[in-house]
Amino acid sequence: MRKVQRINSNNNFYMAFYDDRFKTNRVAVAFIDRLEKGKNTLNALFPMVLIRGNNKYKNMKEINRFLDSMYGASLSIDVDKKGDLQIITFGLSFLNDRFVGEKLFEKCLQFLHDIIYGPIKYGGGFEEDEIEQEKNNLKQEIESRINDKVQYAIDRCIEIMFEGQSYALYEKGSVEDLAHITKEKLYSQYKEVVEKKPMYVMIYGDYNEEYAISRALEIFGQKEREDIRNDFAINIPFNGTKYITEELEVNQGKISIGIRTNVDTTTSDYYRLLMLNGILGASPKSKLFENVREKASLCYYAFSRIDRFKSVMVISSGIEVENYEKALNLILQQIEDIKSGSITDIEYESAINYYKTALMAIYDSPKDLLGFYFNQALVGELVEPKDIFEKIKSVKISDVIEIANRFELDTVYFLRNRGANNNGENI
Amino acid sequence: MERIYDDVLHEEIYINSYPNGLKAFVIKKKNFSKAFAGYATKYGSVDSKFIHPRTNEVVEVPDGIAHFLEHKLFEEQDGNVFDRFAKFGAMANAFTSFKETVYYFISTQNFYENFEILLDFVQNPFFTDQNVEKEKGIIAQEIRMYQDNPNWKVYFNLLNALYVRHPVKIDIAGTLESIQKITKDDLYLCYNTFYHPSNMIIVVCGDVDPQKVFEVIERMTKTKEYQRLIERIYPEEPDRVNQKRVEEKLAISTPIFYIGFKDVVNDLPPYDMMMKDIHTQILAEMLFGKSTDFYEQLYNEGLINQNFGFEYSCEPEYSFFMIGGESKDPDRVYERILEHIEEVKNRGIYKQEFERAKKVVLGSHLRKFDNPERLSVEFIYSYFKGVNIFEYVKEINSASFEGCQSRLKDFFDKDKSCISIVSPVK
Repeated sequence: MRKVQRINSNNNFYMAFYDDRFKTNRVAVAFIDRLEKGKNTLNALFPMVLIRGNNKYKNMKEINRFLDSMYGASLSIDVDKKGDLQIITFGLSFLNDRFVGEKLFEKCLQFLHDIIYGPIKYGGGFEEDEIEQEKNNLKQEIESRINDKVQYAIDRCIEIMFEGQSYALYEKGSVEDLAHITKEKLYSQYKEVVEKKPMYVMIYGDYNEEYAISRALEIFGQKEREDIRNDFAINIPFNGTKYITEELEVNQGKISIGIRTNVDTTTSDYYRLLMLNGILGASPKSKLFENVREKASLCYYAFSRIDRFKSVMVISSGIEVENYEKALNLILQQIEDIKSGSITDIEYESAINYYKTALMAIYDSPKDLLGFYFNQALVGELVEPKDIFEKIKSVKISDVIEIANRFELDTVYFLRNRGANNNGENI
Repeated sequence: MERIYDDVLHEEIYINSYPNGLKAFVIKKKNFSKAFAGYATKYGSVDSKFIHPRTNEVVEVPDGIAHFLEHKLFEEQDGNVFDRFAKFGAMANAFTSFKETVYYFISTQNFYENFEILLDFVQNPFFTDQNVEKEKGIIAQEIRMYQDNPNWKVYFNLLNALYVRHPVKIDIAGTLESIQKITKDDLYLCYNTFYHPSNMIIVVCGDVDPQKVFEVIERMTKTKEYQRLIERIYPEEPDRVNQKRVEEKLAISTPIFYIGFKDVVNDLPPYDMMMKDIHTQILAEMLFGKSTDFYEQLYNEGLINQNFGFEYSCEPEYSFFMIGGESKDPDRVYERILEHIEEVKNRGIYKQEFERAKKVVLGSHLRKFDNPERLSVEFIYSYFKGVNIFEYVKEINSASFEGCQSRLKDFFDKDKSCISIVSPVK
């Protein structure tokens, strides 16, 4: 069964989990930096340049050759934001030795180290033309946010809500910043992150966890690193609700609603907020699904989501443009109903059961489980998914009502099609 | 009940067949917390014309009906089935693809209670004129949502360019117009034809007791009599492509594209089709994989980025290869791909490359076994094609260099290729 080993000193975190149920093992190395204008773009760019090669793996082809020889091991780079933090993760999934008759673990661990530290270790900086290419790729990636209209409308809502704050920044940076990036700036930021910022090395798979940690320690070492914490609070004054409409060439209108929850998500209030979220817009019998979709037939999707790292809730739905008022009122009515205590048994039960399944399912995915423990570490908790479920289970309807009454409607963002004058549509 | 243990994959599967034609499978996953159960019918968006197995009449129904039916089955006399699942904590959902509709749930508790609900609601349709009308609003919004999705658009525009007549070219949900025509009677007619046990399978994956699963099915299956095979009518599809190039503008930033190659359709027995599929996948990896010189060149020239990828779909009535991603110059990528294929056809492929590509393909299929949901869905896809996914993984090892050579000779014909582009609105 599962066994865990953890080491934590000077902001170097090592976690290893033994589990023999899977065909794939996983190693991930994450670095944490503050989410700051300018730096965020550098931090998004340097991992892209790292996988272009170094003196050990001369180019991308050699890197991919290595991955192929490990039975198509998959290397991924993720740059995320969690509250005011930017997280840069290098992940590698590879087959369990048992299925291939080769020892892949050691090689993969070393490979990941070579990718991250290669330019330092093997004395190579970054190639100018590779930087330029990756700048172009990153530019494309930043610009293509617009392709996913659901997420785009949510991101715009958050940007408007947190204007001027670091939480408004996009985790992959901005196109304007790219122009000012030089080879020197990039290399120095890269070194700063991989040598000085908090590092999490996470291993999941079918090997002795003590052995795994000792090998990882040998390879990744343990030097003193900075202490970086997230600020969970919103910290900007509330000046009434903002209503913003933007136009784009779209078929369907998108409503995004940003709500200040006024909940300290590092306390047990967070579990009350989760329950509220389940009842409002996460569970299969949620108020939004039931009343906005099933009963009013206004949309295909309507959901709510919480960001624990910033105490914010976002509601999102896709509707006919002319139904904007009707949909908005109906969505807001669902929150009012919770405030006044109109919650049915089935809504309550469904929310509890939804979390039970979602949380227990985490145990069946190495990637999700590592992500879960990583989040826990950032919040300063060390609990298991099943412990979270226990906490959710004990939330009462009165707790949910109390939380809902703290809500402040901050931003209502509407993404709609281009105006009637442009295309003659009658709206 | 039959038990198969695969000592290469370390996987165990239990099979049971019922007199009415239903088949059930339990893929045992020891110590997993979640269990998946899927109730699948071999009925998808391409099955809009068929011979009714009882009346012998040719029936033609509006596009999007399989998907509409999928939505409607969740409806019950007093509310929807989510009420019942919510009590026992399952996450239930369904999807419709070209050739199948699958109803499923994932649960981490009360598996058998949830399983009974699944079997019950799929076998008990409840359609009224009123609830059919109501659903049109929801599905219309679903269609509208996909119209704003560039990946969906570029994909269906490609299929529409590749195929002249075959219904695989039509959006799975149908169109805003076609769904308006759907009536309660159409739904019952299709339901009664395609939701017969002989056209369905049940797949369960998780740490469950197979004996008990099979008993529940036995007890709960309503239809006992046998129905003969449903004959599906597909239009005669010409070998040529419908259009060489299709472009559409949407609110996006960089153009996205798919290049498609239409494959010849030959009536192969399932095993041969599986081998054709495997050889094509390995060959594609050798031609376009991330560690090829070709990929590196395109990447270094800034013509492609990390989103570049490819996929082969191999079905008895249609089969195609598609490759694409994002590029500022998709037409140039298309030219380069055609040139590259020409060059490789002239020089031939290398043994060493073959070994590398085989490892990659093997690894990617082995990985599917780690996710009960994905494994079950793959199992259903393959089963309806007449192939067992366990065999599939084993046969990758028996793929031959010669098999890939012969696929190179027969496939990737530039005359049967086309490109679909979605480009930014200026």
